[in-house]
Amino acid sequence: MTDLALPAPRRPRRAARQPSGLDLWGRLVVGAGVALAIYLIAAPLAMLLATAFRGPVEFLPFEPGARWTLGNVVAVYTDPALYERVIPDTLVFVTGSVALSFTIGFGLAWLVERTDLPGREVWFTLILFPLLMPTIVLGIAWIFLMAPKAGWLNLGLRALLGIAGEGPINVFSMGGLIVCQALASVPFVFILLTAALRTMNPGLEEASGASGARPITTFRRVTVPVLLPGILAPFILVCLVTLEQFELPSILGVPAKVSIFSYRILYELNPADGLPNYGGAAAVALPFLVLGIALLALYNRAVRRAERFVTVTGKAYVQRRLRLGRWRVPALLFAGAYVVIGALLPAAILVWASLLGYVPPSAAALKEASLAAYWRLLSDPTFWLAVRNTLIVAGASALIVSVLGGLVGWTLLRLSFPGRTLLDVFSFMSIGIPSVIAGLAVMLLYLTVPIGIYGTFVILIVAYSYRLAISTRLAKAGLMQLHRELEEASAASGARWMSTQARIVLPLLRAPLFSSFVLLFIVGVREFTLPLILHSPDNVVLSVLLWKLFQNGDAPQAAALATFILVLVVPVVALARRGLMRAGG
Amino acid sequence: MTRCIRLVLLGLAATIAATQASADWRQSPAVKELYEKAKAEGEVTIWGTNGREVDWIPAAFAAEWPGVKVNPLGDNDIAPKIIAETRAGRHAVDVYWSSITGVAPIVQRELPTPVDWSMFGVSGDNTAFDGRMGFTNNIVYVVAYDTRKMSDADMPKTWDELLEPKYKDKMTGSLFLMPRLVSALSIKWGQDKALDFARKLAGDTGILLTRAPRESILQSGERVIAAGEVDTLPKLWAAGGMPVKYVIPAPVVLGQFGATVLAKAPHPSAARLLAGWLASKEGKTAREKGNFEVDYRPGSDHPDAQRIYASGVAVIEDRVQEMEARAALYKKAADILTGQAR
Repeated sequence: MTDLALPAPRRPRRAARQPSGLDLWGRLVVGAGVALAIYLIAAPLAMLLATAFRGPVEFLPFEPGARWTLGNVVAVYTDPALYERVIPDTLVFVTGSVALSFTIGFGLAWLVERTDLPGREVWFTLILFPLLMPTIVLGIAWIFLMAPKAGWLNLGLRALLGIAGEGPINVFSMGGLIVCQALASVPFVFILLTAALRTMNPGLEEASGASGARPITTFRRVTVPVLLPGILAPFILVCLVTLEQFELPSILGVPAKVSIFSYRILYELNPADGLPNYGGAAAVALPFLVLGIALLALYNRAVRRAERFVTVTGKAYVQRRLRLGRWRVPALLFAGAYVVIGALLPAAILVWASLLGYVPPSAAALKEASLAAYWRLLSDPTFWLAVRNTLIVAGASALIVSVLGGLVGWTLLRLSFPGRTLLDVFSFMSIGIPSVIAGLAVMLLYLTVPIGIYGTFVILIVAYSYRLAISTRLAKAGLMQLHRELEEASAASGARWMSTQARIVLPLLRAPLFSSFVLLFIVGVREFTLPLILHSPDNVVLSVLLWKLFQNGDAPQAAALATFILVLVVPVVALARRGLMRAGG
Repeated sequence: MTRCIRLVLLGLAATIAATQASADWRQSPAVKELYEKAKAEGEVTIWGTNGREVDWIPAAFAAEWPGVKVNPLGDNDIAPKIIAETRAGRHAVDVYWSSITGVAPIVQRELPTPVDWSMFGVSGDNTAFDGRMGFTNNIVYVVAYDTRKMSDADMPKTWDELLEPKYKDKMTGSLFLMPRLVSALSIKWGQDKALDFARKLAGDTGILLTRAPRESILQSGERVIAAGEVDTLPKLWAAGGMPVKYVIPAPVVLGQFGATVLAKAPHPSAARLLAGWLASKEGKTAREKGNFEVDYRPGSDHPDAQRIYASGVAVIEDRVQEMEARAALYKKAADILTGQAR
């Protein structure tokens, strides 16, 4: 039961208040938060917009010699292949993988948050596994499983079905790419949706059921409409994130001649000679911003009347879970199938590779297994420095972004002021900025501003903290489900704004803020583009170390490090989840 | 025949000259003085194009020149990074190690300083950019194969043999390296033939071009040949126990790498000593031991290099004046190979 611990009534203060109960301290905190958020996003966003129109490629965007030009945009958007192949392929890829990841992700989130599925905490952690694994590891694992000639699943299926030749599954195809990208995106969808599902008051569903509506009708007429902001926000975020993906497309899609728009970014940054074409990469990224603004407008239109989505009011409610009954076994099979293909088999391949490299599994090979890669890793002082830096950078940036996202989300929803739409757009735009452009912006900024953070881990915290779109959207979607009467009642009882936020709003926003923190922490642990651009011997992080080991062709040590990252992050996620469950009841 | 004899004689002469020079250079008073100054500076920072290329250096350098600590940093984007840092007045790097194409942008901005490479037994034809870059090693493009399923006799002797039906559905390759190989081949073949080769390779052979590690594709058994790799990788794979060997098809395609000393290096003496050592015979030997990289230039005394030149096959080297044309073709080749254009 949610305990709304309102403070004892006090005499109302004389100070004039906004309807939100914002007092002087509140104004200071909100103002500082919003200003910091703008500061963190402004540099990369300005850099992206400007870089797209700076050239020629022989110069960095702000070097003497560079000038304003439309050349980058013209080069990218007058290429006929863009319209003949790249855009059609991209549309099929994004539509297919978002539809599939959303179907699987929503199903899993609903089972974990709204039903009595056994072992929910274990499922929660297992479902996040693919998000913890480097994409290159997932790609390799799925090649081992689903490659048309030698993939183990194919070998098994061919033996079972008595068919000869290749297949029947081909990971190197548009279909294979869609399935793999969807499997990789499910944890992202899952964690965003669990936040919305967890905050939702089940009373409406129960009332529908009590009125004789069938479960499917309740789901269609009550659950989905009430969750609209909570579903739409992840949907938009997943669309944009999928549109930006180039890792799996370059591992699995290019062999099948699948041309994805975002692959162009990688292509522009890897020229045959000279400097990376930052202008070309930024020009390719521009549509992400345009599409982001369009999707944001659609989102705001769909959720214009926030009151329609309020499910948590001053009245207490009990979190009840739907009994699965005879659907328990199919539900377990559904969750199990995803976890096996998306998490356990890739994890097993990872552990195997750490002991033996990429040798295919066999009893004979097992005799050669060695822990040498782990010992080499653990005896390397750089590794321990990287562990420390990773935990600090990922943890601090996730905390900063979650708190700022919460403040910006609250500001957007509870306050009315000129420029509110601009702030909304601004905070959302961060998702359309490629890491490489953000890294360049931060590097140039802190080389110019002599505050001594260049080359330290602090610059990484600052660089990672521009990604406010996810936390702002999550906080906003969560706040939409909280009626402002809770805050008004608190203010009317004499509580200060800070006290109201700390004692009423924050506890009720635990789920979205927790999801935001976990997601950003994991993204922070995995992030390698930003630390690679900004790294020095002192601020090395695990992802950079991992990337180097892969590049060096040291498969066992790279796999050992990736395994260590799993071992490091999984308990953090599990403990945080347990803490949340205890606190949330 | 006469050409072969001339090449062998030239090679021998260069080898003798280099051996004499390299035997002496560490004992010369100028080098001893430089070493003393380097020790006083205490450390030196080197940036290279990736970790593997520079991580072996600290131990190997310390074995020969104790008392000077080497701080290595490997990163693909060292060129923009060093340009941005220099523009901001930050000078933390002493030695910059990269390919000719990677060095060109920093030379254009006059960041490196000329070095007297002869101090280290390095002849003038092993330098570039008016003495600003000393050559250290090459990469050579190869075809690697799984020795359990293929033999040396099955392998192509020339790059265009890869289009033969016998290699259909057997090959994998790197999305990063293959367009570079095609653009280099255009120097010998001409643009049309090189692009036609790319079209047929991508369209007819079933080659699996990917950014995944190719050793994983070979190990899984999905493919048995990795075409267009650089020699260092199959050497590394074999050292890790993989049953893999390679051949070098004709024309032989080389990539050139070398060291530069930055004009505003914070440790100028240590920087010169390190860069000079890297370009010297001793440095090259240490590099091969530490990272399997070899000097394949004409005049190299390495047996693999001598075999190449003795065979009389055409060799395509990195040349500064050809880089622009190659870059233009690279874009077209990459479009074709990745399916973004026909």
